Order: sequence, then C-alpha cells, then structure tokens
Amino acid sequence: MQEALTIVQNLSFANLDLLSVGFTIAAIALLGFVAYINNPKSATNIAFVLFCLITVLWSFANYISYQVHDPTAILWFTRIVVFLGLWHSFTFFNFFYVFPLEIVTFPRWYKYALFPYVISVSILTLSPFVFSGLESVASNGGVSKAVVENGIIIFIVTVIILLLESIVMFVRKIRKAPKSEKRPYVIILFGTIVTFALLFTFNLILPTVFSNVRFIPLGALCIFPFAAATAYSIHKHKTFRIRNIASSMFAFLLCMATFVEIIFATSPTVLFLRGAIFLFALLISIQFIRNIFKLEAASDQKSEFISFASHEIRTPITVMKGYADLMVGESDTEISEKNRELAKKIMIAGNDVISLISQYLNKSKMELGQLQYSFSVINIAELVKETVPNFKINAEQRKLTLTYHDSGEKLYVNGDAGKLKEVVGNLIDNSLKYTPSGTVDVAIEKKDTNVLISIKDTGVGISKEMISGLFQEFGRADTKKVNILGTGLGLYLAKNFVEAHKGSVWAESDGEGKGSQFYIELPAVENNI
Amino acid sequence: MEYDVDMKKVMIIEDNKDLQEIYKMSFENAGYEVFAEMDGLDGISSVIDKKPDIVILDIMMPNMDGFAFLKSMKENTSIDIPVIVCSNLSDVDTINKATREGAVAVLLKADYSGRQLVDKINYILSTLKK
Repeated sequence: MQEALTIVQNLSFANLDLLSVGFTIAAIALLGFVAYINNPKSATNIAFVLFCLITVLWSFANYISYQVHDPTAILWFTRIVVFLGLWHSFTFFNFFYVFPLEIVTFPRWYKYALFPYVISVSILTLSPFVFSGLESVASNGGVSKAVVENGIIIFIVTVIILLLESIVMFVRKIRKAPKSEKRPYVIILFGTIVTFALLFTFNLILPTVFSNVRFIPLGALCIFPFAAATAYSIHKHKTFRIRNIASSMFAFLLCMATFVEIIFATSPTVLFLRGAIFLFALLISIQFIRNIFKLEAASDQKSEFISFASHEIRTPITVMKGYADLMVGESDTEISEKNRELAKKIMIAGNDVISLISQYLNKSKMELGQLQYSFSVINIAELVKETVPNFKINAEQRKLTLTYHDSGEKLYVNGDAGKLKEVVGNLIDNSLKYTPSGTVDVAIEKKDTNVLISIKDTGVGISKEMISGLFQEFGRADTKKVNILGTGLGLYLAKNFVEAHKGSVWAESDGEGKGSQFYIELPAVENNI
Repeated sequence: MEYDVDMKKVMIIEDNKDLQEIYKMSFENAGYEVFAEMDGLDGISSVIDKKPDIVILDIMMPNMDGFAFLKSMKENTSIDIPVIVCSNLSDVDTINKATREGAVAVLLKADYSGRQLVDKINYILSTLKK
C-alpha cells in the first residue's frame, strides 16, 4: 500500500498534460465546430458551441496557469481558471436548459436574476475574496498553491447548484422524451456525470479541501468522457441532427497524430516543422469537414425535394381514390353497377401509384442513408386486420378469394407501424399479382416468442433457383407467367424493414405452378401501456 | 370493420377542399355530425366552440399548421380531445413531432379512403373509451 502511494506521489505528468490539453481542445473544438456548421441557427447547437468554447478556454487557461513562473501571473491565471470554471458550469446549465429546442425565449428570472448573478460571482472569482495570494510557488511545470479565502464557498455552491440543476433538468427532459429519443440522451447524461464527478474530485475537492494540486494538470482530460459520449451519441443516434461524425472523428485522429509528433520533438527545428505539419493537417481537416457538410446539405435538399414531391403527388391521388371510393360505397341507384366497377379500377390504380411512390421514396432515403424508423409498441394483429381489406377490391377484380384469419389474440410487437403496414401490403399485393386464380390467405399467430404472419397463395409458385434471389434489389419471380408492373423493390424493402425490426422474412414454394408462401416473423413484446 | 360508436361529433381540419368534402361525406354517411375548417387557426376556435369528440388534423396548412395547432391546444386550452393527424407526410420527424405534441395517432392520408378513415376513427374511439 505504501509503495503504491509512493508511486502515485512520484507520478510525472511531463508531456502528458500537454497531450491531455491538446486532446481535449481538439475533440471539443471539433465537436463544437461540427455542431455549429450543421445547424448554426439552432438554439441547442449554439448553446453547445458556447459550452465547447468555454471548455477550450478553460483547458487552455488551466494549462498556462502552471506553465508561467511570475507569481503575479500565476495568481491571475489561477483566478482566470476559476472564473472560466464558473462560466463552464453556466454554459453547461444553459445547454441543458435549451436542449433540444431549435428556438428558445429565456424567461425573466433567467435574464434578470440568474445571468446577472453569474456575472457577479464570476467577477468575485477574479478578486482577492477568492484567492488573496500564493501560498507556495512551484518549480518549473508544477502547480502552485493559492491562498484560498471564504469567497470560494460562493463559487463552489454556485457551481454545485448549476451542475445539479442541469442534471435534474436533463433527467426530466429524458423522461419526457419519446422512447426513440431516450437512448442518445442517456448516453450524454452518462458522459456528463462521469466528467463532472472527475472534475469535482480532481479539480475542486482535492485542491481546495485537501490542498492536493497534483492532478490539476490533467484537468482537461476530465472533459473527455463528456466529449466521447456526445460524439458516440451523435454517431449512433444523429443527436443534434448531426451526421457524418465518423468523418469528423477521422479528421480529429489525423490532427491528434500530428499533434503527438510535436510533443516528442527533440529540437526547435523539428518542433517548428512538426508544428507546421499539425497546422496544415488542421486546416485540411476543417476544409474536409466543410466539404462533407456541403455534400450533406445537397443530399438533404434532395431528400426534402423527394419528400415534398411525394406529398404533392400523394394528395391528388388520395383525392382521386377518395371520390372513387365514395362512388363504390354510394347506395344511390343513380350510379350504375358498371360505373361502380370502373370506380373500383380507379381505386386499384390509385393504390398502385401510392405504393410505387412509397417504394421510390424509401429507396431514395436508403441511398441517402436517411431511412429512419419510429418504433412503438403496436398491435400487429390489428395492423394486419386493417391492411387486408385494402386489397379486397384488387382480389374481387382478379376474381380471387382473399381471406384473413387470426386467433383473436392481441399480439404486440415493437415496430414502425407505417413500415410494417407497407411490408404486409406489399406481400399481399405480390401474392395477388402472381395468382391468376384461386386464393390468397393471410394469417397471424403467436409462435413461441415471436409473431408469425403468413401470406399463402395458389399462384404461379417460385422455382428453387428464383427463391434465393427474390429479396434482392430488383429481384422478382418469373414475370413471363403473368403480366406484372412494378419496381422490383417491394421484397427488397420488405427484407430491409423486417430486419430493422430484428425479424425475418422468407418465401417457400413447392415449385412452379404450386403456389407460394411468404412469412414474416417478428419478436413479440408485452403491451405494458 | 364495425365498432360501436356513441360519440358522433368530428372536426376535420384540412385545407384541401376535395379531401375535406370526401371526409365530410364519408363521416356523414357513417352518422357523424361533421364540422370542418381550412386551417389550424380557425380550427382552434371551432374546436373550443363545437367541442367535437375527435379531431382529424392535416399538417401542411396555411395560417397555422398542424404542429402549431397541437402546441396551441396543449398550451392554451384545457380541452382534452383526441387529435388524429392525417397527413401525406410520412417521414419519422413528422410522426415523432406530432406524437410529442400530443397526437393520439398519425396516419398516412394516402393509405385511407374516406370509408377506411371512418373505420379507423371508429376503432381508435373504441380503444380510447376503454
């Protein structure tokens, strides 16, 4: 035990402190930069950038505070570190106060009470009421000890209240957030708690209460869990609507590699050369990220246009289908049976166009990497039951019998209702199109821990060679047998959607002319709502 | 699909005149008393005045869109009427935002004819009653 303590006492942080400062500054500055250029008008992103900026300044001031030798400079840098420490807590509080809003109006208490109070305390930290002088001046690279006055209590209490309130506020926001958005927030919360636990221990409690300033040089490193958790959350869940964080992280690693080279420079010439390489890498990285975001903006515009165009095309078709449906359902004898049949054909054509639009829209989103899911617990039996009648008219027109069977049991899955409806609709539509005569039977049942949806037809069947490629892009059964119009994307999208639900979809057939069976298996969940 | 419905007042907030007419006829044929408005702003005052049992709400509308309507209903009124968003926008952001602002369900308009929408609303009302 004594030996371990001696090792800790003799730990040398030569170069490690510079590395930690450089590491944190590069990571936080890059995160802030990425957040800002993604959405410079968003209140949340601006608050995040402010927090990043203060973090960078604080890390830098903390490093300089023990690099200077003049006692007056040491005292003032110590005060500046505490001054920035307070603003660090406040910008953090501000970030969680604003998060995740795009526009925010601050209330009166915030503008006229909290903000002036923080300004007052921050001015106090620069006065002798917090640090009146220096107790000891450390040798080169060490940390000097300041004379701590009672004013530090106001600083500590303010920081603790701001940080605790930030975390309480964030926990409340997480609880209120939709289920799909909770996970990325929890990741950020975890990083935040770790960061502030480290900062509290090594930069506040140890130096002020136990007069142990040994770990102050590594203070900047404490910020890293927050930066890492935020970067992971952005990468995994597109938090702050940021994409392509992986490219930014690659640029970050490139800068860091060149920065590490500077630290181990052995002569001023090498230091200069490596410094120039670092600056060059930094400039190239910034340009690289800017170009990526320009491309992102172009792809966003494309995606917005596709969504808008889909909306605009869908609306007149919805109207067309709506009027046709009124004609079909109208009990008025003024509408002849012949016209009613024609209206049914309009409805079928309308459904086909809507299905094609959805398929192209989904395919485009997949290509742009923007396909998203809105998961919630849904009654899948009800969803299938509701989907089958949409194809009743199609079946009638083709003189096919379309049936639906369920056990009457309420079956739930965690899924995106819109996408699962598309999958089921696609498979039913497929079976109807490939069945010249006979029946299409849809059923749903519980099978062990899963829900199994089956669509069985008496159609043209599928050869063994065809089955393997059926769910590939533009893969389809033999269209020579029947006159089929379609994108060839339906089954490909169905497979993608079902797999995103941790399920599986497959086809079975005894061969050509012997009908086909399509199955969708999804993990069942309990409905606790 | 038939469900017992004892609530009969529906408010349709939809700026497309044709769709408004289709929904109006479909709900009237199903025995509902129907009120209709062209945008969220008129919708709010009409909802306060008529107190329907359910609201069918479009998203893209002039003056006040569907999101602003939901937000205003939540923040400025104490009325607790189920709102079903019925839009041709199918992106996840729209669904999440509408749900967050208090919509009971978000439907893709193109998936429903007038009669199918009536069936869906009947079903939703029957589940809400439980």
